[in-house]
Amino acid sequence: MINRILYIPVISHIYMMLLVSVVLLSCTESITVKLEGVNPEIVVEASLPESAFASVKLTKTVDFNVLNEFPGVSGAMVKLKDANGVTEMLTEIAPGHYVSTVMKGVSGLKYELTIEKDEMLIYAEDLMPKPVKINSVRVRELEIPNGPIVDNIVDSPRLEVIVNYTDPENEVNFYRFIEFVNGEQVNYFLSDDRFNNGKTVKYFLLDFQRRMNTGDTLVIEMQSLSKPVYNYLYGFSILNTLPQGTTPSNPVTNINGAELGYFSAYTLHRDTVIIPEF
Amino acid sequence: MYTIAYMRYAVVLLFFFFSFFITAQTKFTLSGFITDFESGEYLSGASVTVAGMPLTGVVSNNRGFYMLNLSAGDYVVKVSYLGYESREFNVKLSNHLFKNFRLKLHSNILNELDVSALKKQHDLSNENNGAEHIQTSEIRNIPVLLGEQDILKTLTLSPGVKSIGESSGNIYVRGGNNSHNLVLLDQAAVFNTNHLLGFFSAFNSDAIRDMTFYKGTAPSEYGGRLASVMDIRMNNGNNNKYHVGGGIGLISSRITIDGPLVNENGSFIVSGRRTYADAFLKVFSNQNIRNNELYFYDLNVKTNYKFDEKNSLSLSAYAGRDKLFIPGHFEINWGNKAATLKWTHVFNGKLFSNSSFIYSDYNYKVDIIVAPSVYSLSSGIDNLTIRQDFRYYLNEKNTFDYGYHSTFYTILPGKLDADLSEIVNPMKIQNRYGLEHALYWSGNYKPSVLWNLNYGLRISGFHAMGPGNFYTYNAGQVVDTVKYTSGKIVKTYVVAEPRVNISYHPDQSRSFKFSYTRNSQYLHLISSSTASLPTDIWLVSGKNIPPEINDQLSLGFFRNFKKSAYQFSAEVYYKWLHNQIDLKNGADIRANDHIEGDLLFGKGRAYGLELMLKKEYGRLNGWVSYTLSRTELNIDGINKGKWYPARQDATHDFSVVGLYNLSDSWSLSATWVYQTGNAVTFPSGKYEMDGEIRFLYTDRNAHRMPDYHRMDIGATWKFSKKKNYDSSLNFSIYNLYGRKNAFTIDFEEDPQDPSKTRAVMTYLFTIMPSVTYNFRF
Repeated sequence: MINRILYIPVISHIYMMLLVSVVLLSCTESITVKLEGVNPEIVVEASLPESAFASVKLTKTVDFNVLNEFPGVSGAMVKLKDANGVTEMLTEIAPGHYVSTVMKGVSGLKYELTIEKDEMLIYAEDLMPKPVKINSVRVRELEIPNGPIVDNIVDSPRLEVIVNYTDPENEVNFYRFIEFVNGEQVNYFLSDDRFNNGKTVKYFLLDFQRRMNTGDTLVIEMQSLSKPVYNYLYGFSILNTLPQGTTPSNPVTNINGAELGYFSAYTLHRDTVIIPEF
Repeated sequence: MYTIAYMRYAVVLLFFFFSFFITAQTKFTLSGFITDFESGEYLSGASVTVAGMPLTGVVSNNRGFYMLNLSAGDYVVKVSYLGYESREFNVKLSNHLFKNFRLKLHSNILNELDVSALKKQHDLSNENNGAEHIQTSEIRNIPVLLGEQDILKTLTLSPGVKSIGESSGNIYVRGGNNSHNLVLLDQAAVFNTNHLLGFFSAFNSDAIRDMTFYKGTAPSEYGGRLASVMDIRMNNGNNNKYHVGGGIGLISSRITIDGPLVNENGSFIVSGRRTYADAFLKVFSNQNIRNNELYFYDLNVKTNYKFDEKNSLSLSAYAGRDKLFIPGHFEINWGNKAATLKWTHVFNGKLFSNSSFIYSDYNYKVDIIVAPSVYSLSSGIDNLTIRQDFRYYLNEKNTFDYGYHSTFYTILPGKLDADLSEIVNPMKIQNRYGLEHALYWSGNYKPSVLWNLNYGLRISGFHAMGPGNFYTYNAGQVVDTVKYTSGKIVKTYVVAEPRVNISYHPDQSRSFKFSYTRNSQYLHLISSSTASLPTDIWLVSGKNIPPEINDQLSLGFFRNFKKSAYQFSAEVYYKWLHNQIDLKNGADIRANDHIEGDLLFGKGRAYGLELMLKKEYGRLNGWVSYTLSRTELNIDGINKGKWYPARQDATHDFSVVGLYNLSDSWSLSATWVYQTGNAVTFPSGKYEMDGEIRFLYTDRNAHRMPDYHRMDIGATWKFSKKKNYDSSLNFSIYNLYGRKNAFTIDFEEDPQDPSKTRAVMTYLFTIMPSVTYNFRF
């Protein structure tokens, strides 16, 4: 049994896409929109996984019409500190990419991150939640009607991925599922336990564009996130990207001193599936 | 001291009664209803004049009632109405007289210049600034999408009223939101007026008789919404003969049956419409797609019965629902229900009473099917209203309307039913309750033929009611929770809403109007999307949400040319909007008990100029309308506290409607609309996050969608017009020149070149022809 209750945010989307693509015969075309650029802003992508080293990427935004090349911010002082007072200055291993070499994430601890560069001072903190493990990952042929929702040129079977896990009853949990195919990250999904606290959940990773072939290696990484990080990532989710969705905005970050990015101290558990023949 | 004061009081009182007595002594009232000869329907806006007395004349009100004050004597009274044969009646007045008039439909409307001219004069002297009356019979020939006649879509061709393309059914009146429109169907509030995401409205034109629309100062009997009133009334049905009418179109079929009840003392009408959008799905070979269901229906029923000359009762009911069903997966359905029971009583020729008992609701339900169990998420709003309205005709200079109404709202914000489920927990967000009252008084004073003063006061009040837990928030976090039991008042608001309308007619062809109004709104719509999705949530005012308030000033100039063949109007308005609501960035409205903590408040302003030139009769008729306007918001926490344009802000809005009667059997029509693209937020830059391209947003609504324009044409061929059988074919082409109007503009990574990003426009409907067959016998 699949927990389809979690579709609710996408049902409106499916409904609209069905209408738009079938009944109302919509068309799309590429257009040029005049977009005025702004001064580059700093982007912070800071993560501290459980039992692994911290990684902080500092980049800058670019104008919409230029190539997707984002300059790194070098020479910053990046400091990580845990609730016990243990501190480490992160090392820059590539332009704008800083890592810890000693400190590793521990579940239940609160971490502080400080970034200094010239006049800029950035501060963030996050509490690493308790870990939740995947029971199993299952892959099968897609049951959601395809066709009008997606393009019809299918060269490989459409697959759906179902993650089974048991939600702890006595806490509020926030999850992120990252999907890697043959080592490459292809998508991620967010979920919380609002509808299924304490249940064994079969969570359906909904992706109509998924392409996988027999023999591919699928890795699902399940992360337990803090609420501020979940809220930040949720800001990018489907509700904000619906056709005619809410007025787009930058998600509310858990970082002070920068508007873009987040600092996540999270636990993770992975499961691997080799795609069988369908 | 006491005695003197008392004496003075007595003298004043005596004087008042005396003068009243004098008036009553020397003049008698002639009053009654004006109805359609065939159908018995009330005709509002019919004119009643007296031969030889050019200054004495009245227009029947929206209940078809007229009243004249005349001295005793013999008179020739002429009754006229657009499209009907004028009739003259001899009246001998020696006492108060209650007399009803019945008018016959004119066989050839085109030649009835006289009647039209009378109606024009009526329009000019109409007391209300920013009021419009639309009959469904008048809009029959205007071309529309897929041939579905729609009174709300036609309304958007008027100045000051706009929609954003065809992509949502939302209507924005003078800068207000869609939820700021009070949409009444036979007095019952309709909460969601859209079908199929807004491509069609909930109002089947076969069942609808007319709509009175107020964008300026609505009479004090209306309230509870900021921007406008759309008072839609259903057909009563014919009380002489049985008729069957209907139509078959590309997307829907309709059927209407009406006729008399009990010796012509009553009538009934039953009208239904169902679309078959899912028929389009059958062209797909994929079984999964073919079995899906996608449709909507409407059912309107109305019956009325006249017990005697003074008492009549009417019952109207409406139900409409949309459904999307994907077998084995989910079903989503939503819709409105409404019912009104109304008793009209005429005390005498001067005092009228309407007592109504009204229920309406809106709800949606999503069923998620996982055999063998079904979970469902539902949400809704319902209300029960009692209303008592009086109208009192003191004399030909003074008319009063007063009354009271009270509405009890129940809001179900969200409920998850999961009886058989082992994998989800049933849950329910607590219901919210509210009690809204209004006491109103308004008067119309006509001191001379030159002046008309319409004044009123509406006192509205709202109680947020228990039971439930009520929260106090600080920076979005709950800091205090208070539990209230059933029937306990949590918070009370009272707003006094003054309304004034002054009009001055220096001569037959010109008039000037001034109006001021204040409106309050205690119900607030929170939407997760700018499209009209069925999942929007209503909230009531309470501890955290003050009532929304609007003050509006408007000025108008009206002028008729060439013996009233052309009408010109110019109006300007300015609105001050208080306590406007928006959601915080990233707020989640699904099943959120703390949604009130995610709201932001601020103010708004809207102003504009509306011009219209109209020709209402002749072979060629139609109108040109233009609106120049601005609507801005200033909300704490959005756009760094700066003013920004509201989404519906459009600088220019232009419509042209032309209708041409080629012959008795052919008529042609065309419309053209143009408007500035609505305000949107586009990215100002991009960045990379988690391996994906993300977009940087700066100022809200700082960009514009491409300008919207479109031309539609239509032709109606009445190929059989016999005594007992009418049938016609309506042909139309929507978006004649195939303008690609943007539905959405999305920004994405270029699939061909991952090193680039691109903008993609989605558009609907280039050229959309349709044909509809209509009949009536």
